[in-house]
Amino acid sequence: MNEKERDERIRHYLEQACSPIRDARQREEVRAELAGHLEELAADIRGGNPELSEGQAISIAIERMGDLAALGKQLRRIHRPKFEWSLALIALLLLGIGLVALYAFQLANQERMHRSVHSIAIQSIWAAAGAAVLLALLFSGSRMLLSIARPLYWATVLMFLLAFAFGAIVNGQRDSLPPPAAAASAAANE
Amino acid sequence: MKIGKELMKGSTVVLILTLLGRRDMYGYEMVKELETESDGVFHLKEGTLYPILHTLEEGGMVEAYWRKAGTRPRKYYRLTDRGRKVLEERTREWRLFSTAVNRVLGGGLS
Repeated sequence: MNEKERDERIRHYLEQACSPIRDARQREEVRAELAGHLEELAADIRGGNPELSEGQAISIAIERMGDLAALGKQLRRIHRPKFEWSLALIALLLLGIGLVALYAFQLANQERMHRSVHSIAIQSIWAAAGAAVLLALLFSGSRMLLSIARPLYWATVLMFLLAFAFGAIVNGQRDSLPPPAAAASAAANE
Repeated sequence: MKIGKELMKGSTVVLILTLLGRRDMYGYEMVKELETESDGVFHLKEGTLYPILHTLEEGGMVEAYWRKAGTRPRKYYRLTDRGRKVLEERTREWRLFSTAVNRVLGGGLS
């Protein structure tokens, strides 16, 4: 058994402890920790019985460690991803402020806002759609987005900046969503 | 003689905390240390040890760090201040408990 085969075998064996863990980083850490444990156990077994090959020692070590499925289940529970309530609260707060400001703005500009895409009804629908997508992604437990999280973040920031810089000008105003503070003060002035 | 599962369950955490109270250790080292120190009475299974260690880590009782030994990286655990407090508490609790059990079991002897 060469080194590659050995590593593959250890990897395969540890899979039952690691695969239930949802957090990728935790999963790799557990894998490394258990692989170390298995290798040290095998080395000790071999130390006591020098006639054994490395492969045989690994086999005995695997047998001694036994079934890891129960361990995997427990580790899954311990490393369950935590929901960021603080982040959800901030998002909800911003959304609330935005919608309230928009409502005030609409009250003050009845005719102008009448058929605008910024009308409170349309914006509320979009907000609800956004929340639905967010929840769907959350419950799908997909890790796919993690790898593109950073580009996604910067793309969003860039889009905001572009909207401020190049938003269409309507009635002397840029037709981007007014920042909440500006909308509120505009509403208060009228 | 093997110790019953139920009895082991209540004392494993305090045993692990005690080991870490002396020095930083990695998982396999704890298994060996406990086995030699107890003359082979305590044999920690991986399925018992790692959930306890990871729960203690999540709870801020221990901190983990990786250090290389040769080519093999090892995950060492270190007791935090909070863990030390828990250790003291659990040790006191255990002393009280074992003394009481001994007193009852010992009957007229003590």
